[in-house]
Amino acid sequence: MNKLPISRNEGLIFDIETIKSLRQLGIVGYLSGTLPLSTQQNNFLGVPLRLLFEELLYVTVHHPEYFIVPDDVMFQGLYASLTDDDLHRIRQFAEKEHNQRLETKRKEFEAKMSQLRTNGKKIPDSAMIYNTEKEPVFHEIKNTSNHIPNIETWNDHFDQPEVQTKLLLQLLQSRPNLSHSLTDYLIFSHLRSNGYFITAGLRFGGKFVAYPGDPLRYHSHLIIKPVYNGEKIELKKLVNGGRLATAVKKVYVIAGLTNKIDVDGFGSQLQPNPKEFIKSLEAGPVKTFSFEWAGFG
Amino acid sequence: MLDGRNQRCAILLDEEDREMRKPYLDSCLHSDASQPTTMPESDYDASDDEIQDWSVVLSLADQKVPKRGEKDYEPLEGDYDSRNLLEAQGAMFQALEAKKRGFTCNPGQELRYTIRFNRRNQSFYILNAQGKFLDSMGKTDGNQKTWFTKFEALYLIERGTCRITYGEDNSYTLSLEECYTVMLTEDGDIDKYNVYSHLKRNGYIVLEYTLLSTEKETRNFYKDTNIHSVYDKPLFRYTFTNYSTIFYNLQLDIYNRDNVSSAPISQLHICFNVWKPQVNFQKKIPPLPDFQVSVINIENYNFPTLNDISHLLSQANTTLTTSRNPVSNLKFGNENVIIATVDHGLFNFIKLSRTDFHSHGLIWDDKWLKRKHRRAKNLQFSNVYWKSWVNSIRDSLRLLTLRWDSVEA
Repeated sequence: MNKLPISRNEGLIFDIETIKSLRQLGIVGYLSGTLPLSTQQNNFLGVPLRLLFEELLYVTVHHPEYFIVPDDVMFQGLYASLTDDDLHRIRQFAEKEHNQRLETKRKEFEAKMSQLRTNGKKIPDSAMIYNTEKEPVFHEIKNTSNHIPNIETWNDHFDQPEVQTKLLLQLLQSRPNLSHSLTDYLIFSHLRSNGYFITAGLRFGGKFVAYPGDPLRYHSHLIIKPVYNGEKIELKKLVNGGRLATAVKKVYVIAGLTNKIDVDGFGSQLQPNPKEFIKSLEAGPVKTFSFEWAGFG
Repeated sequence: MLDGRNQRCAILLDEEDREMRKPYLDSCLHSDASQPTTMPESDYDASDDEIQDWSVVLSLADQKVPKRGEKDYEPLEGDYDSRNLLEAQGAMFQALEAKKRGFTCNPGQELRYTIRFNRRNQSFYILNAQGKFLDSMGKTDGNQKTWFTKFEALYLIERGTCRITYGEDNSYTLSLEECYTVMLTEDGDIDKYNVYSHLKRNGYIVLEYTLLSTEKETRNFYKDTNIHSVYDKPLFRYTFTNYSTIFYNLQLDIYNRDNVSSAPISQLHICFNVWKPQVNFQKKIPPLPDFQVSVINIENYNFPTLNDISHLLSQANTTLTTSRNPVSNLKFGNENVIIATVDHGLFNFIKLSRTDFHSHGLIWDDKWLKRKHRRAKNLQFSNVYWKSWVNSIRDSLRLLTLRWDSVEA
């Protein structure tokens, strides 16, 4: 599954296979949902995986096999178009699953009972029959809706180059400040292409935090703070960042573009092919500077 | 032979591991009763840069022995690293898939856990609802319908306690993906939901913000109706005998002045009322909340302006924990609000409180005076007590004593 669902311009991944394949690409995201295995703790969380805007953009630009699906639009259309026949098929599917579950339970039950019998316990024949009527039923809430019969056609509908271009444009236009977002993205992509794994930087007060490998195994090295075009860097900020980063054994990095991004020129340049346009921006150099608190103590 | 011994060693070590982790596992297993021992923010501090050893949580599912993992500084060349990485990832994905989300109930009972959902007006209710979760969630009306907010409903579904079905015969259960898209219909809902579910998982009682009918306590302990300044007071008519009286007369009534202007309007608002876990919580007539949380996305907002803060604080009304230490009272203030800053699912909680120096009154304490006072009492100089007391103070304060006469002269 290469579907990247977005809902109100937030990338939310519910499919575990997709999470796996994104991880292979170095896209980590942030697991934000309750983990069914252990629902009353916050250290280990489950689906959905929340993607950064930059991550979403990076995957769509660099890996054309992935495609965006606007879930909010899709499900509206899907529900409206469900026919009685579809519902019937969904019902059949649910029944089939239910029966399968009962069947495995029945087998377990019978195996257990015959085991008891062979061990010499006297069990009347009536107790040997598994009563499916009274058995508690498990109601599953699936992660994704991939089992709905028509979902494939809907996904295919969105997986068209023209539709994808349109969706990408919508996503870009939803940003409160596009030129800032693009600067962030270019820094993200620069670091990613240098092998860093990147997560959101709120914990250390930066825009991103960069890891030398998968964050599951390695400590982060860099706290990234983008500097936008024309922005002055306060010396106090340098002291601030330098001291903080050194205290948590990281390096504070400011990053910016040498080429100015022209926001007004975007409209015409983005329109025909946003992916190519963004790729062309990536060719421009990204400058990074690191600094450290040199105490001289 | 060697292998066997090694294995035994490994098992022993692992058992030790499990012992050490027991408190954590216990806290995971006791679902509803779990008491958060720490505030969420400190929780976060701890997990800031710690390794997430997913095999710990995985060990809850099957009785596989948890493995200890450690984070390294950077990748090394060779298999050792890639094997560890694969193991860590494998544990994570296994934990994600280990248990299916859902609930088990007797046939015919499932409607008690099925949330009816009206898409047009975004309302959620369960008919004849049952369950422990009702202690702190939902509102039941006269028709046996229990109404939920969208966050409550989504949280219950995500936990696997309830479901939403499509169609009249309840044949099709909505997936989590559908629930997120269909229920979180406004911008920023996802941030609020993340904060909500984080607090709920920690065991707090969270209700949507309402200005509780309980009147805001009158907290102006020194409520002077007259706004006055130090200049209005004919200072020099008094004879000051100690610092306290001097300071008391010098106080300005700042608090009341601030209250005169009405609360400004702002885009920010308080989202949730939060209570520490408690046994006999009455959701219909809840006590004053322990915390109030406002959710702010860091991409769309900067630090709240003075207007925003005044607006938030004018809506805030939480229980006050007064401590004996006047300085800590000052620190926590009379009104406070917690701001949850959200960055794509990560968040930080910040407590903003209005430090109200005036209502606290005089913080100066003439300690030496008290000591003398006590000693005098002990000696029981009942007759000469008053005069000697005044004299001793006069002596020590000679330089600071201002007298009307001297000014006149």
